[in-house]
Amino acid sequence: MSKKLHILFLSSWYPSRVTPTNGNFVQKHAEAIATKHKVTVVFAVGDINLNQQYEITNEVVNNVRNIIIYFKKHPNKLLNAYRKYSALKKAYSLVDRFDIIHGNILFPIGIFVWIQTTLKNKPYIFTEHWSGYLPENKSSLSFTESVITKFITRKADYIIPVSENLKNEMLNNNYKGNYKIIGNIVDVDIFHPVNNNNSTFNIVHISSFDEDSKNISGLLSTIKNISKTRTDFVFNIIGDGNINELKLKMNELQIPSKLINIEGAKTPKGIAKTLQQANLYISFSNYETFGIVMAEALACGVPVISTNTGVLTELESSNYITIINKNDKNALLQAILKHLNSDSKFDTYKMNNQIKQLFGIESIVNQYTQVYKNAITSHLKLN
Amino acid sequence: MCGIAGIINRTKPEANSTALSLMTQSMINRGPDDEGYMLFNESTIPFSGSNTIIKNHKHIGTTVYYNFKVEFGFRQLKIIDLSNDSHQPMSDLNQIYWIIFNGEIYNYKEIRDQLISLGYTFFSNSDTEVILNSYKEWGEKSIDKFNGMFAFSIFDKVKNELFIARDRIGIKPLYYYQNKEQFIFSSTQKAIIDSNLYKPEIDWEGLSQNFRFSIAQRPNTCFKSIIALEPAHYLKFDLNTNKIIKKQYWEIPINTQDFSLTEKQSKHLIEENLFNAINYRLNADVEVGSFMSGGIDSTTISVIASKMKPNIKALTLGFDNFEELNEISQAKDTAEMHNLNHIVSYTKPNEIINNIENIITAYEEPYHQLSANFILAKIASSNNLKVVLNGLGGDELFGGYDVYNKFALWDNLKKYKHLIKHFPTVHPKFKKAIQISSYTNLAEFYSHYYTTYNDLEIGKLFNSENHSTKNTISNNYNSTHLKFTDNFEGISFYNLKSYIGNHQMRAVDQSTMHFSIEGRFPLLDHNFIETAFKIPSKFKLKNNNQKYILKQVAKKYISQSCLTMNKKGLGLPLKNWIKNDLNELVNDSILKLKTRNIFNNNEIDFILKTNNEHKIWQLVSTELWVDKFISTK
Repeated sequence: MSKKLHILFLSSWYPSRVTPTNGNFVQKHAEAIATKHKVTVVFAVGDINLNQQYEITNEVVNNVRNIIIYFKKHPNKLLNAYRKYSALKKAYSLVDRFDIIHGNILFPIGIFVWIQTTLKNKPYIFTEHWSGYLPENKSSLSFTESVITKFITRKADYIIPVSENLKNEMLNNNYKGNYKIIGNIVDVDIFHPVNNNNSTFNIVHISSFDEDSKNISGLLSTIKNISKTRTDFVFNIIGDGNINELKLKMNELQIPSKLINIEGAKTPKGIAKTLQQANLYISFSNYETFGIVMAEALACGVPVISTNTGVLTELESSNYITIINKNDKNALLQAILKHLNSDSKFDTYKMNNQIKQLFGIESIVNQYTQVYKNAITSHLKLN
Repeated sequence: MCGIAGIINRTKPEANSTALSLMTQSMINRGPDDEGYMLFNESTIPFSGSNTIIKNHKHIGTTVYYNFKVEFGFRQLKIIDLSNDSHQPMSDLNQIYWIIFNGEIYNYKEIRDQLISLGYTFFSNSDTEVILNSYKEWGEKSIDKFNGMFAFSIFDKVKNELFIARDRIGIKPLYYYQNKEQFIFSSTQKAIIDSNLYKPEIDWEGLSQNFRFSIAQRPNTCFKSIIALEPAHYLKFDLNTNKIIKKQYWEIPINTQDFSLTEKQSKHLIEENLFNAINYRLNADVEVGSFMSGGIDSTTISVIASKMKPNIKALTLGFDNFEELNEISQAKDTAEMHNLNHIVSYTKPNEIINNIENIITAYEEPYHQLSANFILAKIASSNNLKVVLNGLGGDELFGGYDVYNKFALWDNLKKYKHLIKHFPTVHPKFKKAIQISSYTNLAEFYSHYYTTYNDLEIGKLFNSENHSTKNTISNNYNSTHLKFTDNFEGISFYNLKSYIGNHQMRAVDQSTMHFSIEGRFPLLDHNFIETAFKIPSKFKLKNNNQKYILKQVAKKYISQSCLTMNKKGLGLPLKNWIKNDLNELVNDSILKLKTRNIFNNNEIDFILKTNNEHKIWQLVSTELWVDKFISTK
């Protein structure tokens, strides 16, 4: 039997009434870890519509205590930062004794985490999901922000990027620290194979339709090229991005409408249902930090074509993932045609099991438990 | 009254509804008068054989073969509205909201009038229907209106949402267990186990807390993964997204002392609110009686109740051959003053011994003593009572325990702690002084006075990984670092949370419900609690006179002998029984316990030598509990 720890989650992003989906992968981690440990989340977020200076909500959601503090947002950046810090302190004072801080997304919460762990002599680890470290991403930290974040990275007991690619890019940018990779969570109870007897070949892509990262134009022009010779498929493109813009692009390319199915944002169960009816999942991204939908597709027993974004490297050697160069439209076309022409069957349950071993709740929680224990033990030794 | 049970099938609906009927059968003692079921399938069509609102007492397992997403089961002890109209599960007239409810809403008539003025119509005279329509009108805010003791669940068919709430003090129990496939809730832990959907395992943290504080501190229980919904909390379960939100809706009103109150005004306030609280609790369509120990609280309540309901039966428990434990003569003095319908019953050890299995079953978790509540409930039952008033709460609110008189000692010991820590620990008093001087906060100080086994002893005894109980009280009940007006108020706060909310309520509810008796607690009326917290502490502890202000109220009603006697509580002569009548049971249990590899056997031997009856009985009851609930399942 293992002793329950109290883990304090402090995150730069977290779902709230202001940002309902921001950081939902952090929430997934928190809820998974709460199956074995006590987890409290503290999160501060500015709300322009707030009638008072601060408002605290304190409730337990799926076993995780969420202490979310809303503060009156100020247009002045400095004043806003001060308000955020004060808000965090207020919310933090409501937390009882904890064993370790699990930070998420180094900037800006890292400063607060470092101060509090130093004051309380507690260990801290950080999970990093931010794509801003990737060279293709135009977002980046300022010089001062970067210096502070590098300091916090060095002092952390563990830095845990969600993919090999992210780790390498952080190291390339001189963010030195004690690294360990732990992926995002795939709920294999929702994402699992079903018997698929489709008469049509379903190709699926799910994303935010962001052009810079997802290369939607490249994806669509490849589909257009295939449609010139093949019409025995449907391309299902699903996501929470701008659908009108997407439709416009399709009209410009004159892709036959019967070959395209566009749908808006879906719940996890809805996404699972779509993937379970898919024959192939494609991603043509310029960069990725983890590639959660690809992992979910694989969990549903669906083969994947992906660009070499350095994610899911653990699965590269398998026959159900095809890696192509970034923006290589011809390679994408050939890979899709290969799948269209092939009648080979995949061992869908083996695929599901492999994802379960790598990214299933139990696996991720066990990996984090080990990290927590190591961090606590080494912290005690240092003292 | 009553026992409630529910199963939510999270993934795919189960074809077997037997689990639900096993759960309700397991709670037959809580509700011998009626049973009811309501099952909801994927398209949320209620099914129960025929229209449940009218009546349907058919047994579920023999008639139902559907697949269900939500299952509600109910056992009823009829107290208010004895007709079939109060049958549960009950729905609103549109059959959208469905409820199962255990407890009483004392102010339901006032809320009902308010709802009628808003256009609602009622088909029954029950408080259950009032809850249902209140929820329909005000949602979760409806709980703020309820004065009473309750644990209920409402299923909103349209929203596909489950709502579960528990009363402010935790008088009515509510436990739940969840895994990927199911969410199961019930009035008892035993019902969850009896469903066969859960395999009982020991929760080591819960058991450690049980050894320290006589009960696992909620939400923990001694069963792994069985969670108690904390008092004054509700759960909202969105079945569409599987999201469960738990929220606290009320807090004990600390920092509300009104220092402008004079002693006379305080006395008047208490008396007025006590009358209201008792008056509310006399409302029932069955016979109401009262437990009258002879102490201040229950005796005052019994007398005031008799003024409102003449000839009400007042029950006092006596012990054959243990005169030092009896409070009978004091109770008799008061009974004679007011010509009460006073019934005195004597108990013998064999009453307990013959009922050991029932006691262990009823308590559901190990317990460091044998409580007289079980015998009292049995006596009430044999006197044809269905509702009994109880004086719990007075000691916690007005400072009836030793700890309330020890603040000065603690302050002094803290001042000299650097000196005291060098005391030789040869004498237990020195050891105790060193311990007390080391406590840095009120929660630690409080814990000291409510300890069966201390942390060090638990560490030595348990073979499992050690779960420290040092900060349990502050972590569980004061994680937000509340500041108290004074230490008295702080101890009252912890007492209501830990001692009343967990320990006493569990012991009383389980005992009374075992005999289909409903206990009612005027001093735990939330309006009365709010009044008590308004009264300045200086009137509660005056010149070291504990419960001073309550005594000022009580002296009008009870005999001088009741007022001045030393507190005895409802203790049983456990030490004597362990050596004599219960000796064989103790020896057999300890021998068996040693074979289980739960505890360090050398430490067990050491404890036996200490002759501490509570520590020994804690071990015995643990063995009986493991044997009953863990090893046979």
